[in-house]
Amino acid sequence: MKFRIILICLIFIISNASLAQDSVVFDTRVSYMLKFYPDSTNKLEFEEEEMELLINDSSSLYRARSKRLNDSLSQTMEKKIDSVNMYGGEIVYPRPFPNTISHEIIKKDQKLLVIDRLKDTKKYAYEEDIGDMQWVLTEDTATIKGYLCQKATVEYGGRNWEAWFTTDIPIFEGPYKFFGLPGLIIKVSDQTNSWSFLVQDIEPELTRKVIVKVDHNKDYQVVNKNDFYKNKRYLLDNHFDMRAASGRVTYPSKEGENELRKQTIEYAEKDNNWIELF
Amino acid sequence: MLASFAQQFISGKVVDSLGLPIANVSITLSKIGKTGAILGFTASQKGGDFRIELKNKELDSLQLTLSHLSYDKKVIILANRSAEYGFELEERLEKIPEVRIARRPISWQKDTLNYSVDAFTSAHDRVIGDIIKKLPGIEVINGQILYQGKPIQKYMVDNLDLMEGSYGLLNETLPADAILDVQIIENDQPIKILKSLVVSDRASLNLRLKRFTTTGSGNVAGGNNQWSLNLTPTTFDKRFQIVNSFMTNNTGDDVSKVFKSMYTESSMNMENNKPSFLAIRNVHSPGFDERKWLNNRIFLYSSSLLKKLRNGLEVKTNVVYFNDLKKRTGRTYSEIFTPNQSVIMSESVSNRYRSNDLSAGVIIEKNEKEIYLRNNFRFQKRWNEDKGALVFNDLSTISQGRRQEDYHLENYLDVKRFIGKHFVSITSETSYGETPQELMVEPGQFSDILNGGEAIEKMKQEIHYRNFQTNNRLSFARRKGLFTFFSSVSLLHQTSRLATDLLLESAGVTTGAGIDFINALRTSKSEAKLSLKTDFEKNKWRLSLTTPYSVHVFDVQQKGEHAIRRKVKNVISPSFSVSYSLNANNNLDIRTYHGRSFNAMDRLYNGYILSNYRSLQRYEARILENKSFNSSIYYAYKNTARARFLNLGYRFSAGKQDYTFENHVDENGMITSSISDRSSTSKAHHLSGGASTFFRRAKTIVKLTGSLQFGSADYLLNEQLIKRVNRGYRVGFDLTNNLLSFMNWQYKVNYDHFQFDFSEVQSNAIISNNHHLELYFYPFKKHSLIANTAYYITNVAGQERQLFTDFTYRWTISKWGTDLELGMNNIFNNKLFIQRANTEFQLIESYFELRPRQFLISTKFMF
Repeated sequence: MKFRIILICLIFIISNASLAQDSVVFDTRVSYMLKFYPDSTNKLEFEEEEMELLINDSSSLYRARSKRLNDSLSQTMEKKIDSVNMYGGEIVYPRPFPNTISHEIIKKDQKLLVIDRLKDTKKYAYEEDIGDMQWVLTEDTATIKGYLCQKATVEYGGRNWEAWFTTDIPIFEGPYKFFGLPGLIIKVSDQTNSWSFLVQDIEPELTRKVIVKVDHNKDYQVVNKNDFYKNKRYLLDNHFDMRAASGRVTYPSKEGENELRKQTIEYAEKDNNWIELF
Repeated sequence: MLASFAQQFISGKVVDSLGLPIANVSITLSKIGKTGAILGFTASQKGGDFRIELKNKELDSLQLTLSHLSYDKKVIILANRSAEYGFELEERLEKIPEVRIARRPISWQKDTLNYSVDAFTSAHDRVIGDIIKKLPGIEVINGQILYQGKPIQKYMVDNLDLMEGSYGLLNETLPADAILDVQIIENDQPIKILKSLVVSDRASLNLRLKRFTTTGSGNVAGGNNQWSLNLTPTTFDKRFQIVNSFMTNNTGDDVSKVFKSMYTESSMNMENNKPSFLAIRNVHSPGFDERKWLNNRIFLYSSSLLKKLRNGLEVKTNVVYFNDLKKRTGRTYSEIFTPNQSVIMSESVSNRYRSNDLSAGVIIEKNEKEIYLRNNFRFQKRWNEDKGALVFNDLSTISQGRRQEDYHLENYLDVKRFIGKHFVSITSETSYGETPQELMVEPGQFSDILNGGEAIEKMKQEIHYRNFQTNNRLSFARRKGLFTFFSSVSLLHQTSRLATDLLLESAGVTTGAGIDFINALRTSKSEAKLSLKTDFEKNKWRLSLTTPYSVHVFDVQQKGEHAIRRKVKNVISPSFSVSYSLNANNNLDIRTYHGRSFNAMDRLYNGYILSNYRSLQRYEARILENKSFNSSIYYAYKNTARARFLNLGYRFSAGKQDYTFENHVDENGMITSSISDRSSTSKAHHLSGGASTFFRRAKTIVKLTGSLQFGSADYLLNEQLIKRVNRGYRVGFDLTNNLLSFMNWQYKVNYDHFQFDFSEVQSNAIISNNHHLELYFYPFKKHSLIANTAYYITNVAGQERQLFTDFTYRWTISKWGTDLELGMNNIFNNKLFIQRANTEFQLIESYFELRPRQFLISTKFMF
């Protein structure tokens, strides 16, 4: 006997769950191409990452354009590891993702909040005063990307920086922690050229406004700046083994695991040219 | 005096046309002129106020500029001295123009993520799989590609899905330099008609070719009497794609596994409905890597073809054929414990398994906005022949032979379309399979039971099994607030026929073994199932309740009589789980299940079947019922920052059956298995835990695991009811050291003790203590040497210790883009692998013949 059924189906109602979190709306986006040399001894290998600076009247958010990807990734992975582990299954740990820039910076009320996901996949944050940057204006001018720019310098984080800003765009913003010049920073680089930012796109009055949800259950741990950098180094050097110790990861072969470990250690050794020298 | 030292300021207030203050106005001072450099600057405060210091005393006058994104710029010339001003700004009408300069290795276009292959290719990458596994957001786990932690739902080349889930073959052979982009299409709904109805959270992968081309890759290896060759040419055109593959080896690599589907919602499952009733006596294979012991010789050919017709219809065909010869030799010592005595016996086994497997499929698919139609038809035919020579107790030689053929047809139809305003979906899965099987044993056994004690020259078990099945299913999902409801309705109907007969041959005369050894079974089962699953998720809680309800109707005829007539069974099997995350470091999970299940339809025969040369087996022509209850609790602690991990779990399960397994063992070890009508119970407790950490200075990872189990079950052995009790424990310790950059090592040890007690005096126990040491040397860049050593200790009398070592040397030649590998397996040329296993009333020692010491050199190439 063969049963045949014809049925009417499929109504998916995705509920309009009310937003439990506050959201911040940004109307301007500036993207910067960040180019940096992770290894100070190797002037041939550089990395590039597209960063975005989202701006509104009272605050700004700076982060990697692919942030969304990295963030949701590490979360799904954590969840996956947990659920698999709970039922005693085995998973293979994927290679560490090359999310070169994982920090995001919020500038608000004369404060900087730096939030970063370190290699233990947890978020840490530290705070700084925005006024710590003592800019020195020079009289040099140049046209960059079609904007008339003036040069200003600052010593910050163990590096001497050179910034080119334009008063054509009268916002006090710039990439990373840079802030406080009387126009948008179009280009900024340090003296050794290890780190440089250059404007790519400027999108004022965004048609699709960027909405960032602010979760009041802070999912990061606030530490002081020194501890943050100490911890960052420690986790960078040891995270592979720490993760292996969890027993929550398995690899297709011991050989593959060793290969990954080697890569991770090399990667950590090469990562010696941080934007702030500690 | 004071005045000349005093700082001088310009201060003021900025307002808009309505007199409201404007904050964040950029206020700069410069020399007069268009390009004058800025000398000083400030920003207006919330109240619109500002104050700016005058430093350049030598100038008479200065240019003050006020600018803001939303207001027109204002430029004023002022005298260079302290003063207070008020400024009004006009709203800007002209906007700052948008500036876009784009070119990126990763770019988004709506829901499509493009990875430019060139940007991710390095010198040693050859095939597209090398690139895909390192793209951010993508992981590859055992060949399966995951995007953001979820398996991809399609793997396409130029938007055509040729391989239907067996994409491993393409992924590992398609040269990377033929591909322009890897695209991930997020939230992809591959069925066009569903696009407006169902939101998909799955992603598809598409490879964009640089040009239509013919390409491919291969792999070759050779050594002492060994070979391995893989060749995979592919052709891609706009409306036509073909992949052919030829693989052969005798190196222990079972390449037929390549065709396993990686799609998660694969509807076809060919492995069901093909029961194998008969077997030749075998010896346990070792539990380690198959390549170290599998003695094979496989030839495999496959071809997949796709053609897209003008009218939008896609036709896909696929053929896989392989011929495989496997050999196994070894020796088994068994001790069978019965209430009155123990029977000890030995069996030396030398077997050859010859198998042929042909499978083919045709898929017709029409995927358009108005209609979705997909019909998948598959056919599989296998013909296997196993032969074995067995020496029983070093005295008598018994020859065994098994012949099994099976063929299987399967069709899956899926039609979705709108009729008026109603969306209609029909899915129907239908399969038919038939398998004749034969087991020959010479000389015949069980002469006491079968032939009044007189010798039987030959015996032959014949079986013919046919099965038809159809399954139709419909499911809904609905989300409301914090709850998600899943419901489904399914209807299944299955009919099967089993005909068996045992034939005896003595002095050239063939006779049947009698009515007790004949089955003429016709069974049918219908099942209607309604399932509701409710999930609730809030903050730290996750709850899930599943309540499936089903009605089964059974009908069984044996030898022309109705053994079961339209028997109806109602079943509800609820399960419930709670998960609570106390915080990021602590998690607790509790789950429970209660349900009833019935025996499979191919286990209703009550005539004996000779399943192997010394085992006669039958079930009963009635519905066997099994009630079970499971419950578990699991706690996990993790502190990732300090690398401390701990877990603890406990599981309990209890079962009640309305039957008891009954075994009868005679003094020669011949086993007769059947079912007794008395009820039986079983219970099991399982406790497990683990702890691990990382010591930073020593760069050492330490892991400790342990488990404890206890269980009991009833069964009948030689007419006595016995409560079998099993108990066991296992301890494991694992040390990994990475202190040196040119060498790392791992040492693992575990100790297992497992024991069955089936009366106060009799028990059988196995103890195993295994040590593994793995050493990895990297003496020079691009060279690596791996040495694996295993040391096994068991409680086998006489042969307690075994030592195995393998070496692998690998040289990566960047110029050729390949690895040259030299493997030396089984250095000590051990002939046998010895292991112990126990079942409720048997203790088995097996001696498995391994692949001898071998050398193999291998390399990869592209064409």
